[in-house]
Amino acid sequence: MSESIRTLRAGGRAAVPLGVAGLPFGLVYGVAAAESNLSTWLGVAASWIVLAGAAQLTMVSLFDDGAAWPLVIGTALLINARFALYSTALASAFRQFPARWRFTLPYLLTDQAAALTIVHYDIEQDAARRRWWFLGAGLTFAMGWWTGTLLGVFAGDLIPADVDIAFAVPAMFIAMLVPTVVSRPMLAAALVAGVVTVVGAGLPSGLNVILAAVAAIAVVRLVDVGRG
Amino acid sequence: MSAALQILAVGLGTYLLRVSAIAIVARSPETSDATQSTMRLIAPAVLAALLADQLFVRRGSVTLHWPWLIAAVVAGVVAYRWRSPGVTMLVGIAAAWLLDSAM
Repeated sequence: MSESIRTLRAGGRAAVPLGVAGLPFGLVYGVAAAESNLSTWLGVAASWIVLAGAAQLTMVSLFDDGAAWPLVIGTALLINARFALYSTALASAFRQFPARWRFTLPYLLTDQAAALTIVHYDIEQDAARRRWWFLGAGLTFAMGWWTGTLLGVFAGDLIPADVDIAFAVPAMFIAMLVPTVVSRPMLAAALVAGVVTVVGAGLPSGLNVILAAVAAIAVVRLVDVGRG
Repeated sequence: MSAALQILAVGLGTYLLRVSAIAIVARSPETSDATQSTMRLIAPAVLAALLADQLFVRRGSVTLHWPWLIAAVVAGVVAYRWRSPGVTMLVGIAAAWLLDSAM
């Protein structure tokens, strides 16, 4: 087996727990899409085209509310604005990749792939291994999401009504957040971001999240620099 | 605009957000230590914001749903102690389900 394939599989293995976690998340979305007035194939296609759970769930509920298209597109992109932050975090690693990798791999850039990759790139410096690892991790999570979507859309009725899997979404964020917090500044950033998100609850969906993240990063950096 | 076109537009916009800094930084010099320190805060800040939004915000107002908050603490302890996303998810969902039926 070539080293590329070995590294691809290593990335995939690292993402298996989150890929499995993506299943119930995709299921929650699939059930919501099936119950909405969106056609079945469009609900499924969105998971391939957008590949971002929170934005897709919000779009489905906006479609059902009959929201105007600028509101739908604007809200979804606002929720996904955090990907620009992940893009910033990974940019210096990705700049070592050939263009065909640099412009295709970001399609697989999810919260899950970013959280795993940012930590992994601390210990992996080789550019070739870095991209194969990202491909393995990103695809593994995406496959969990796609499978969950299909199950939710086509087999959602089989879930007993009293079983609530909605907590899968916050549980996944907890599972991703805890291992990424490995220093005091990171803990401070997480706490500030959480508080600002709640304070900004009244802002349009997604805006509170991105504002809180940017504010937390700015505050922690300023305090850090101030301390010298 | 049809739903299909709106989904395509969001897909394209999301791809552009994902590729944004990666495309721009591709031709710039090595990043400084200060930039690196800032980059390292991105994942914890964004993930904590997403989590707080899930736990405390419902339709634009602050809502405390106690079974979920307790389940979140349980999941947090499990995540810290065992460092396994799979175990964290399973215990968290089970705790939320049990607490929701009990409370």
